[in-house]
Amino acid sequence: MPIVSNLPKAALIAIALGCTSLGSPLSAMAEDVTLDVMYPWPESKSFHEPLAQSFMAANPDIKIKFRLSPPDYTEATLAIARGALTGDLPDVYFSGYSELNAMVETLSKRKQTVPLTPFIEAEGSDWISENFGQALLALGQVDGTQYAIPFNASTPIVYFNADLVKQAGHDPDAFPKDWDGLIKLAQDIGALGNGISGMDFSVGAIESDWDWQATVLSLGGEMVSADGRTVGFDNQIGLDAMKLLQRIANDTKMNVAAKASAYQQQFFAGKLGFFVTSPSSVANFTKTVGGRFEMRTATFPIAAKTGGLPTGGNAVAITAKDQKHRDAAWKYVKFVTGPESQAFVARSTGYMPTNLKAGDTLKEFYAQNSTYATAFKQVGFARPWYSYPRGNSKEIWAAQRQVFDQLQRGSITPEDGLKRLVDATNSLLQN
Amino acid sequence: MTAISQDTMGRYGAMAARARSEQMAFWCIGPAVFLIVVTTVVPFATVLAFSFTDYQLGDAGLNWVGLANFSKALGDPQVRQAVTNTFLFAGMVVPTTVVLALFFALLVNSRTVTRRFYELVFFLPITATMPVMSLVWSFILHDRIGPIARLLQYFELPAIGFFSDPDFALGSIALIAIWQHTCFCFIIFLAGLTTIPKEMYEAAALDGADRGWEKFRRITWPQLAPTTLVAALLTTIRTFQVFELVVVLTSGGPAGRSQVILYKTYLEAFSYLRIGYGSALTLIFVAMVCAISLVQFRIARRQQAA
Repeated sequence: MPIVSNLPKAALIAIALGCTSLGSPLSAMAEDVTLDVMYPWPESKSFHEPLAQSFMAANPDIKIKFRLSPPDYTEATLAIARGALTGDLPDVYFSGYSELNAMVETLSKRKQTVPLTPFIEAEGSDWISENFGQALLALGQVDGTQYAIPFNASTPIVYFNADLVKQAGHDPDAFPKDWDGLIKLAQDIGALGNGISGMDFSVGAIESDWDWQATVLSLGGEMVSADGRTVGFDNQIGLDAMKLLQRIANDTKMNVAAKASAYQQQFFAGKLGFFVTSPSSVANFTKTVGGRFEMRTATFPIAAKTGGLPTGGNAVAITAKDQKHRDAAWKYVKFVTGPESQAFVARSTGYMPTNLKAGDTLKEFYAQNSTYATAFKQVGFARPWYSYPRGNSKEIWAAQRQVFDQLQRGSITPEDGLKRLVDATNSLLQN
Repeated sequence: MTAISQDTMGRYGAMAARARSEQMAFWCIGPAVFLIVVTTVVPFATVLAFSFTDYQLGDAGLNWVGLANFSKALGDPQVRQAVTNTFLFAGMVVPTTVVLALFFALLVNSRTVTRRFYELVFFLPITATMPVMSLVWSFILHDRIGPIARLLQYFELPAIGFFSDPDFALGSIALIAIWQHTCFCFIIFLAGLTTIPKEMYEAAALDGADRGWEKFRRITWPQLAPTTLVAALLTTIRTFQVFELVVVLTSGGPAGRSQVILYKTYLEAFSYLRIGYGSALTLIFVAMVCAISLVQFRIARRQQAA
């Protein structure tokens, strides 16, 4: 007796329909799309997971499957390079702004890039202008082409221990807005003794040139010349930036750190007045500090009228192979960069919302949570975080950070430091 | 005729049995050889091949550059600094580790009741993962809030930037490595000490060598020579492989003063994506470890021959 004859008739019909027919309910189930999504920073799971759940509830035919999250933007770029080689790219990828050049360069070698222009055009002429400001949108462009939509955005802000500020005789509500004021405050906090330091702005301690770019841009400078061939800080502004960094270290008796974790540990122990980092950590830092002291945030000092700040964060790109997955991926991109999603991310982290409409939703939240509002106050100063060509940024930074370390320790003069910085950067730019 | 055929058959039979036996032997070692080829020979050959190219991860093609990567490495000041730092680090860690481990092993070996307790105490650090222990050490040696910093403050002594001061960074990492490797070597030495026959000490005592130093010089130390070689060799190799400590505690800073060869290789291959150059640095690292191991073997053989 043939085995198939034992199967129920209905099952046979269902299999036949599933194999042959189009447009039936069974084939609709087969049409379900699963999107492979990769985002860096595993701790970002706290907002990526809820967003994906909401998206899947609204779009039952699209499933979101997260890949293992790389620990940082550099590792994520590496994962993308490997995926490009083996043909195993995710469908949606959250690329650091500073890594977007490298991503496009890597993918274009195998014609794997997916420009978003057709998707944006299909949304109608007003969609972009209604949802995104041009300055932020530019963060997702490479050579004028939109490859990604900004998702997380942050400019450096100051985190301070309000209790120490009070103990030093200052008013936390009138936190200084310029470097002179900050240096004076740091001196007064440092004078409290008992192992307490005033401030830490060890530019060479972090794993990117974000603080250095913030210093130069806030003084009105540029990172590279107009033609992109040489550095843009080989001038008076560059020298002023170097002098400022050395003065901060000398005048406040700053303990120059080799790693950012050193001064963050000190801050959490209640032994550091203030330091600079991304607003993305507001929620996490608030939890870590708990009730030990009052943590607040303040804007980064911007000295020049034309000054700005480099924007960190990441943009969401499509790296799917086929059109079906690309269409589904675009729905996901629109969802996570939409006003509700952006407001949710801003509330759960401290990131600036990238969607213009999210600002209205967040007005009340910011009024009640001033610690979270600081990043939003700086939106107008957001400038692109300059990324050196040919993925050279990391190597250039490895050379530059050594100069900053010596500069802030007082081993070299600002003039010598600038010369070494310019020479090292230019030689790597022209490699 | 019958005798010849029986003889011939016997010979063929023996040959066939031998062939079967050899075939069986090949089948038996086959999986092991396959695994070695797949996990060691092929990756090593790939690294060797890449080291002669300019391949960058993600590139669609590559170019043969001959020995250019090796000559670039020889002239690269950062590589020179990394190699120098690695040797300095090994110079601090290996002798200190071997001496301390031997000292503690001798002390514990003479214990009877508390021996198990000490064995456990010394074995615990081996079970701890280095990245996690690095974080613990980063707090212990924190230059402001760590317990040692607080002690220095109490005695009104100047603060020491264990990881942030260029003069201390490498030494601080070496201190942690000594802590970790001493425990490992201690176990090796303790095992070595148990293999020395008690009769030798008894015979030496009859000959007048009954004092601690005499017993150590004339019996323990010569008998422990092979163990010392193993301990020194393993510590050297593990010391040259220092990586996690540098990543977690200093990222090679400040100003490259704790940059080591493996971290530099990692940066080139996985951060700057220069697989060709990174492969060349890997081979230089392997050559360094092989050369040092050979020198240690030679010295040990000469000592044994003497």
